[in-house]
Amino acid sequence: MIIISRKLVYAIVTVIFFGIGFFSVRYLSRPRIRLGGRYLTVNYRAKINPKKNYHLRLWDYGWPGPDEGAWYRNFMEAAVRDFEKENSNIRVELSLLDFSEGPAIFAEALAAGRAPDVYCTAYEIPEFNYEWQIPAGIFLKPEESAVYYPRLRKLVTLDNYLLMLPRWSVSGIWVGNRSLMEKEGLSVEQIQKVGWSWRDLSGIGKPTKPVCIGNLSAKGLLPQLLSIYPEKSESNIRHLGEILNLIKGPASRGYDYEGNMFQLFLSGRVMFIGGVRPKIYEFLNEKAGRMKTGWEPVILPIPADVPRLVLPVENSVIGVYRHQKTGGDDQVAAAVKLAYFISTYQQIDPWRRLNVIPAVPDLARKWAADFGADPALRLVEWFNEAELHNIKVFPGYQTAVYPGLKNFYSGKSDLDEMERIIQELLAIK
Amino acid sequence: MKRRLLQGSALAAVFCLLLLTPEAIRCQQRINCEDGDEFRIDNPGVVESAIPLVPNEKIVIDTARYRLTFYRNDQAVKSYPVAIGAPKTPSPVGEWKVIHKGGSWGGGFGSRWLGINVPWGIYGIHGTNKPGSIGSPSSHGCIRMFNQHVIELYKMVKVGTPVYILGNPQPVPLRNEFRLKATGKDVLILQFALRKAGFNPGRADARYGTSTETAVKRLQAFYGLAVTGIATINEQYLLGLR
Repeated sequence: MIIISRKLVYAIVTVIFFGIGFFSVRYLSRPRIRLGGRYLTVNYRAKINPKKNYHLRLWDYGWPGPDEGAWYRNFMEAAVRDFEKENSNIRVELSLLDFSEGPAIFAEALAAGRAPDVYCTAYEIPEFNYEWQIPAGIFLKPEESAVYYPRLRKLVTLDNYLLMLPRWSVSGIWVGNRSLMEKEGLSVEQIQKVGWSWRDLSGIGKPTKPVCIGNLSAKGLLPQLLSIYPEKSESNIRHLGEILNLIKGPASRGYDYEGNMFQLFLSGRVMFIGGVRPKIYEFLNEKAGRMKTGWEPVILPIPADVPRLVLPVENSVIGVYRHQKTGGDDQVAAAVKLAYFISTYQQIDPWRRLNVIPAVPDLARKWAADFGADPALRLVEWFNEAELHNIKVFPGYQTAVYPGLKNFYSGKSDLDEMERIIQELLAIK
Repeated sequence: MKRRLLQGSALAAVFCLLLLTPEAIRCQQRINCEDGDEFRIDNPGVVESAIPLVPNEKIVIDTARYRLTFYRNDQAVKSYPVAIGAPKTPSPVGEWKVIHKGGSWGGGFGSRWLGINVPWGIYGIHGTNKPGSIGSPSSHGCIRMFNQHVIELYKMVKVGTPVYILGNPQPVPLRNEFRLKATGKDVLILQFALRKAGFNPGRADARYGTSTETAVKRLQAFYGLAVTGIATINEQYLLGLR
């Protein structure tokens, strides 16, 4: 039988209490932040250790080109080399994803805890992942966070934390036929300056043609409108239905306007194409010039309830992630440094080619000046002045919504059916 | 009586021969290529899509230089002069594969046949009884070679060997909508345009398969259009085809 003296019992109890107290204090005083109603443990004071070697994985998207995408790979490899030159203890492993399969590959890696340290999105702001993601802004100085367009920053800010770093953006726009617009008494310059309203469109339709052909894709007309009217209310649904009805106008039954929108627009028979990217404007402008149409395609913001500048936008952002092999929060600090470097990288050639606007105003102005054309400057100004709304990605849009929208647009279904589709779409989380 | 007996014996002999003919010979099929020549093919009934591509080997036909070159591991093994299609009946530019091998009946005229999987006609590489035409655009679309050359090539080439006919595809009117399983000269034009724009459609074989569909989807996603995989007039505009 082991006899334990009372002193020893006291000593053991004291040690246990001391231990509990010590670890409780340590646990409760862990550096953490409150984000979206949850606590996220992250040592935001962590610094990059200059004596330690870091290996970071960077995922971005490869973009097509006649040289099988070499132009973009060369650009990113140069950016990585420049970063590594400045940070000799950080090695970066670059992977370029296919832009159609990439989101699924990333989602799978994230779920398995194998996300890269730094992930650049294309045309979307992903949901913040509380398990693995770190709000990149907590490692930045206020002056560093301030370099981005304030309105873009707002799209990726939650509880005053910059969740991801903006990289570039592209706005949903309308393209108009200047001659037809002026015939109807619409001033292009005025619309470009202060915006316009849905009321301006009523009464324009021809007996058999729609006033505007909508790009009905998953990032097109309807999702762009939904980014502006996101509340799931009866009045909103009715209002959206009315807008779509107005745009559709007296369309001929059964005619595929969307599948033929460029030809119809370039033929001068339709006044607007709604809900497209500036890349489409660039194409239409070039094509109209080559075809010597005699009229000018113009870039327009999307109409609003009252004339004001409002822009639905798609964004590329850079997220910073932990994964199963993350060595510590100093590695996260290194990842944020890389993310910041990439998001503010001074070379902007690819953004000209993709016709997307850099998220840093200085770079955006340089981008517009290099284009040397008015529409580019206009777009950059809009990013300063307009109300920006992030275009949401609706899973299953292509199969569940697109056919119904197409039927509505070709006069095969009525407004009630369209309202039901909008209601279902708004219900998608 | 003797005569009848002889005739009967001959008939019986022919019948027995037919019965005893090896499977390979009985399965042979006659085809008439675009040049109007008749060949037998040794592997009829084989599904074209089921023939795997032979890796590391290819035949490249340069229509500008009238030359056919056989490559193994990217090294030119042998090069031959050829005749290609006349301007009115051009050789099918594209990326094909050998789908059947054969020869002429009795091994005379034309000697050997290497059929390729062009969907709008029966085209192939074969020998000729007009050796003077070699080095000119004079055939009905087939690739003509000297008989001794085609015999040599025939020995090296396997069914499934890729065949690249270089040049510009023949301009043809485009349909309004391209969908999965479409075939034709206009599909080939679409495939070349996709490739030029940086959207890899796989092999430019005039068949709108899943690779071409994926390329169209990528084009649509890139421009922010509805991702349907169907190349409408819009996509054709973006590719500079209209």
